[in-house]
Amino acid sequence: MSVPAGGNDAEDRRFIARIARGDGAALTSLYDRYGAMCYSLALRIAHSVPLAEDVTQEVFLAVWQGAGKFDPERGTVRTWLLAMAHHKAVDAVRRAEVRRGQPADEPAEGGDEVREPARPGNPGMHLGDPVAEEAWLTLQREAVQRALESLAPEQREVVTLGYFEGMTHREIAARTGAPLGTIKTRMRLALQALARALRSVETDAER
Amino acid sequence: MSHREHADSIGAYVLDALEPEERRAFEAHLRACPICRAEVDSLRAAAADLALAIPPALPSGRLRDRIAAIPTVARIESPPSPRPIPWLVRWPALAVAAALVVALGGLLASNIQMKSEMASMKQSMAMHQQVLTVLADPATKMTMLRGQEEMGRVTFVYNRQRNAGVLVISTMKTPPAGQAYQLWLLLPEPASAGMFKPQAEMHVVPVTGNIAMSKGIGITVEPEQGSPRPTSQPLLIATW
Ligand SMILES: [Zn+2]
Repeated sequence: MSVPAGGNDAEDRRFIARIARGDGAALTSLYDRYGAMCYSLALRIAHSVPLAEDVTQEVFLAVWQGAGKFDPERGTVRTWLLAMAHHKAVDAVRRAEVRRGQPADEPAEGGDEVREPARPGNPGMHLGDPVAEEAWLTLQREAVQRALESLAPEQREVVTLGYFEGMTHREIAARTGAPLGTIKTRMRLALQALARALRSVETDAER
Repeated sequence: MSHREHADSIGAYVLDALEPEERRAFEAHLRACPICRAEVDSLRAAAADLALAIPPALPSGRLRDRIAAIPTVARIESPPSPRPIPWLVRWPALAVAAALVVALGGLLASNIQMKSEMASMKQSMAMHQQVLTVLADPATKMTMLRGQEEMGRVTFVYNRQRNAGVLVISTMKTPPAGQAYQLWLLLPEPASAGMFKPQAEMHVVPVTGNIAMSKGIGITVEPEQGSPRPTSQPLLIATW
């Protein structure tokens, strides 16, 4: 995106190649880079520390087992990890809801149930300098927020409910009163618009 | 369904917002349709960027330990099981303990004719059995003991329905000379549940007593012969 560091995909791909060869240290390095980001996303969706931890662990287990199948043609390592984290978090929440018949607000049973307060961290970025990392992250966050705000309100709504709340298009239709089928179309248009908005942020920064 | 109809699901697919059946149908189309794959890839990158808008949370150090243990745990579990056994993945310490138990079993088998070792073997076997039985049950839970964690990393694996439990000692500092660690089950009065001296390697200690009725477990330092009641505050404790 706008600033060169962090999403250094060539470096990330080297980690993936090492993991595919069975290098356990590379898995930890990749976690140090993206673990907090995956965890923050899972926590946002699951609202439960144990569930978010399990999801993050599942993501890195999948990386360990599937690094050889990673296809750089289809996207960056970061996108791969975050897409897995999102999918697994949504799945975990839906499984918990089915089991309980209610939203999964309580941590899963067993073991370590201490909830920890969410503290600010530096998910993923390694510029070497904490101030630079923090600044980079803030820039990124602002760029994404600007892109989100540039969407039409009904598009922003489906992206927000789908991505951040993990709702299905049916649930969103029921919640918003929009006809079933409309939401799917709207989601696609919203993501297309978001992709364009993010690209324009990129070009602005490169000028 | 045509490509056009399927393509309408791309956004919902990328947002993980399809119902399970719709998802399966779309994925089947995706495998056959490079046009949809290209759009999924492009929209997925945009969706992943949304994660950057989330206020960052810092995961605990124990999560990093769990990730670092994945290579070891996955090796123990492979090759036959295509899906990892959840508790093994979730609790790497236990996986290592289970591996030790398996190793112990192998040793026992090779020494089986040595009558002089029968006594200790029986004892180990009983422990081995107890660990395996507890581990095999889905009602089994685990909890990490908290408190003076610089003293050691100890996990209690227990099953209150079976009234069974084992302590997995990952690390524990050596107690002062003439003293040992004593376990206490938190019943209305603390009840002694055994003594142990830490070993260099990770090891398991069977816990005896009324686990079913207990509300927790604690570890204190006591004279080697044990105390009828705890004489100090627990170093490590877990409650449930
Ligand atoms: Zn298609």
